[in-house]
Amino acid sequence: MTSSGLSSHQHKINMWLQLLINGICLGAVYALIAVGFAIVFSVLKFSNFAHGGMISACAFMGYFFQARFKTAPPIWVTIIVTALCGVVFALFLDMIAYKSIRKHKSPNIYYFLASLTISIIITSILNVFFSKNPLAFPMIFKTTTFSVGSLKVSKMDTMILVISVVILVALMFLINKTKIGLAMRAVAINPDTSKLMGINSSLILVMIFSIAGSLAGVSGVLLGCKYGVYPDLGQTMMVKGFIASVIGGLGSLGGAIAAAFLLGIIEMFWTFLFGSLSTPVMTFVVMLLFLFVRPQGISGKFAKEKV
Amino acid sequence: MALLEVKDLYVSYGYIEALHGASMNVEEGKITALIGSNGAGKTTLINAISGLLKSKGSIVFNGEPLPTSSNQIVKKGVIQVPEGRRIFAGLTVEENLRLGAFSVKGGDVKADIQRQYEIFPRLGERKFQDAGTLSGGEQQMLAISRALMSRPKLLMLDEPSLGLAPIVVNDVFQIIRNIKEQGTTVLLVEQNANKSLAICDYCYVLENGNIVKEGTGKDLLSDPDISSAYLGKRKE
Ligand SMILES: Nc1ncnc2c1ncn2[C@@H]1O[C@H](COP(=O)(O)OP(=O)(O)OP(=O)(O)O)[C@@H](O)[C@H]1O
Ligand SMILES: [Mg+2]
Repeated sequence: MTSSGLSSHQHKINMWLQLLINGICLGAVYALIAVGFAIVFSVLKFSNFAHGGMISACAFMGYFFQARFKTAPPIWVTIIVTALCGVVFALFLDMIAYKSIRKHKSPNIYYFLASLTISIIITSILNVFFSKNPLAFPMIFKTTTFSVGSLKVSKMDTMILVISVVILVALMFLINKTKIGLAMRAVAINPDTSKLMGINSSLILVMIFSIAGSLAGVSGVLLGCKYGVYPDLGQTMMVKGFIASVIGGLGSLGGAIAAAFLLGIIEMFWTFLFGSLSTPVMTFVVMLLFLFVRPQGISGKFAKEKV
Repeated sequence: MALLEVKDLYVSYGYIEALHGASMNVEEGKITALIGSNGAGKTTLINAISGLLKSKGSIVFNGEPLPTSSNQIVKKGVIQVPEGRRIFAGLTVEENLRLGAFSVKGGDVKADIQRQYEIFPRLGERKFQDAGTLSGGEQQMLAISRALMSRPKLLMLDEPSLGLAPIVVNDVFQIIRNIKEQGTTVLLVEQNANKSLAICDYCYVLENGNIVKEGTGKDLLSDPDISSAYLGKRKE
């Protein structure tokens, strides 16, 4: 009797652990999206909705790159190629849309409008050529899970987690520990004063867009592996990134990452307990709650210059 | 030949012209002051030199036309301490100083920072503090110190005494004197005409976008028009 009670107890713990692990893996994907979103917000103070369209486009690029080969290349090759595509794509968008906004010193609302338009255009074009049925990335692993004790862990999720964490750490290092990262933070605070430091503010902005583009590329491939590739993939997932970056405190990268993991975990548990139908509503409710209770977000760093 | 020669400079904001052909020289190793009342165009002039505003006319530095993009201008050693200090709130004091050294190629940034902490001990005590939490006076010190980090040939200060208590204002002017003694050329923009005329070697008076007077500090201090308009003394 005691032994069977214990094992059912053990069973329960395992289940919660499993949910936690899945939540962390989901959070890692959200974190990548949220950071791509937040990095643009931190500097230009606008929500870059083009990010969703870019993710979809990059997911397709990654898919077709993989599909060109009889035996699929290693996933990291595809990720690097797609990240580069994302950069080129971002530079292209900068050239056709953002550059003239910068040149005319137009208000940032124009960035927002441009990015929204771009996102709609990209998604519409993709919808013309591709069906809503997800295209599956070729299988990367022969078996889908491995076991840790009695827990089953998805190999795919683990790969996504590792890649995301490596990229996030590299990005945080770049921003917080390097000279160019310091320049990025300065431009985020005040582009004109940054110019007086000898920083080429426009170049920094282009770099920020490129980083966001490469993040869209990586996110596209990882999401494609997890969910399949379809035109609305980016838009759907970007909502999560957006929510995470709001909860994290718009523009704060650390906050966005923390919030993304939190969101992933909450979502997993909620879906398990209450079903997936109410999950999207729940995520927005969490966001609204945060906006009521702590509008400055998790990071909550508000400093004012004294004049 | 002066270190900086500004000739017939025109600057407009949209359709409104704010500078109508201003000319001035800044001699090497000297303090040159630019005084004028609110809205005269002082900040406009200094921002045009820094490349933040487009201008027509010629700006010659060290015998060569000054580049037009601000980051190139900084590389030439023309550095501005902007009006209202504009320190980077949210970054630490030390990060602000490191940003000052952004354009310095090679050189020992750490040693330069240490030197600044010797000149401004209060900044050293607060090096890991958010610069936005400094007092107004400390922020002004930081703004000047940050500018010195870029090893300026010409240091332009826009109203460094603005909003500071008289005792701190004295400190600021003493620092400016020291900077000159170290061999750095200074262009000082001020509304505090009394003090700036006292420390400057040469002075220009800007009114409504035109240079209306120039002369040594001594000359202008004894000029009846100047004393009535800027020094608050009655015309005799
Ligand atoms: N961004 C702007 N857009 C339009 N007009 C401007 C702008 N900045 C300044 N001006 C105008 O240009 C003129 C000169 O302004 P400027 O800031 O150069 O004066 P200032 O001498 O620095 O004054 P203060 O001592 O108050 O700082 C003013 O009439 C001002 O209204
Ligand atoms: Mg001014």
